[in-house]
Amino acid sequence: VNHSDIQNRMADYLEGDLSLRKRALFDAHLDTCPDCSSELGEMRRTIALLRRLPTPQAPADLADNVMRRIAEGEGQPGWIDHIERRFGEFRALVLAPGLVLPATAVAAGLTLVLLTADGGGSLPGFRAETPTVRVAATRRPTQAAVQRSPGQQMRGVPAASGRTWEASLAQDNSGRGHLRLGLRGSRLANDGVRPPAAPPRSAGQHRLALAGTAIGGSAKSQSVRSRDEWLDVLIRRPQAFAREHSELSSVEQELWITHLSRRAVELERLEEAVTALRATGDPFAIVLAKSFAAAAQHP
Amino acid sequence: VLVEGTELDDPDRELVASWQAGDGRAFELLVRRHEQRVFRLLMRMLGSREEAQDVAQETFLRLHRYGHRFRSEARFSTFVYRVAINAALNRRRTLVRARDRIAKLQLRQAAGDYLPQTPRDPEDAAIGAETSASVREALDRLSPSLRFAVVLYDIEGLTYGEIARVLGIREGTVKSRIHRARQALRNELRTLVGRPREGASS
Repeated sequence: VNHSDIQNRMADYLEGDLSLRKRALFDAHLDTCPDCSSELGEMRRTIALLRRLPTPQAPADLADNVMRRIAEGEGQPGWIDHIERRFGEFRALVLAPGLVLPATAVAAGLTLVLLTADGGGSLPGFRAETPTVRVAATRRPTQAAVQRSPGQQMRGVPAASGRTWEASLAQDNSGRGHLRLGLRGSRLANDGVRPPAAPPRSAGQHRLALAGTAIGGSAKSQSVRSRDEWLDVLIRRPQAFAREHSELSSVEQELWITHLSRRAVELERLEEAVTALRATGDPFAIVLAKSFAAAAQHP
Repeated sequence: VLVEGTELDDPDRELVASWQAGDGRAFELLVRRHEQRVFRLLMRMLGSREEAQDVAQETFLRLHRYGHRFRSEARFSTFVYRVAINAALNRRRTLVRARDRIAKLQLRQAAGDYLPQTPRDPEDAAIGAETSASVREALDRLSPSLRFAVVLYDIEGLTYGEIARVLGIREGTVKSRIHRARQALRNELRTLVGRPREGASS
């Protein structure tokens, strides 16, 4: 038994998870090694401190508040939950990277949905940046690796590759939608896409986004502008932008913030945008300003 | 409800089944049963009573929303923890200026957000306010993943397996995170744990 053994085994020793024989060896080392033995003592005292932290008490009205908010309509299942409830977990196939999978389309025809980005396939209010996006939603299980942040991972993917992607849709607890992608039939690194065979035609242009509207909800008619045009609206007419934004679903709102704040950072216009929103004094716009600043900090 | 393996003894099983069958009162009972645990955990994670209260409500709303996803492959309490942690993580992500927040949080703590614990065992009496403030600060400086692991293990008393489920990581990872967290805490708290004192545990 030497120092590194001790280091590796310290946690097990502390938990009493070592076999008797190993424990005896460990003890023997401790007897002769003041360093290890004082380290052990420090670890023990650290754990003791943790376990003796005072216990905070929950506010007496916590459950009442929760039940009141539920009665008022909060905490109800969202669109993905509805789909899951009805169909179980579902998967989508995305052919060629590009924008979008509207939840309404997925819900409408789970077995097969094909659409193009310059049709209804873009984020509401965004003009499609990708010529063709074909999406097929199926219930097939997928063995493809899962990616954490599709927006980032999609960078560096050939713009017009004809490869087949596997994707799963998920909505996180905040109602944000996530589309997880993997190359079909290929082994992927845990967290990334295999490097593309050919360099991307226009790197960074093709972003993946997921737009969601509540099932049964009607799509609002909205002026169609490109991302940069929306950014212009934001900076020149922040109040109008905030009003438009406030009418989106929460998933879309999040996506807009992510989408536009990244672009603003690229163009070095983030500060301008945040300042413009703040200057309105409009509460919606000020919340938005905060979200933009936060999104830029945690891309 | 399908129940399998070691989870047969889940004390929440019947309530969860009634709730999933549409009984709203069962949900309320579940909230009351878990509120202390959730709140405690969130206090440890977020530091301020105000935030913990917000996120605890949010946790139960999400739980209500995602209840159909719970499938009894784990204990319900594990699921609750998971939802609470996600809610806390989410809250952290949306915070704009973490440093300001930590400063504010320390002020609030100094103002007495924490209530004294009733010691279960005289030997195990709660540590003093100053010491516990140091420990909480040290916890707050840990990276989130280390903090979650050590809070769930040493403070909340979950098993490695439960933590692995809550955090969605492997048990081996849980163990090493706990160990790394303790080491980091020990380094932070050197002045408190560095020298054996009279009456210190050994």
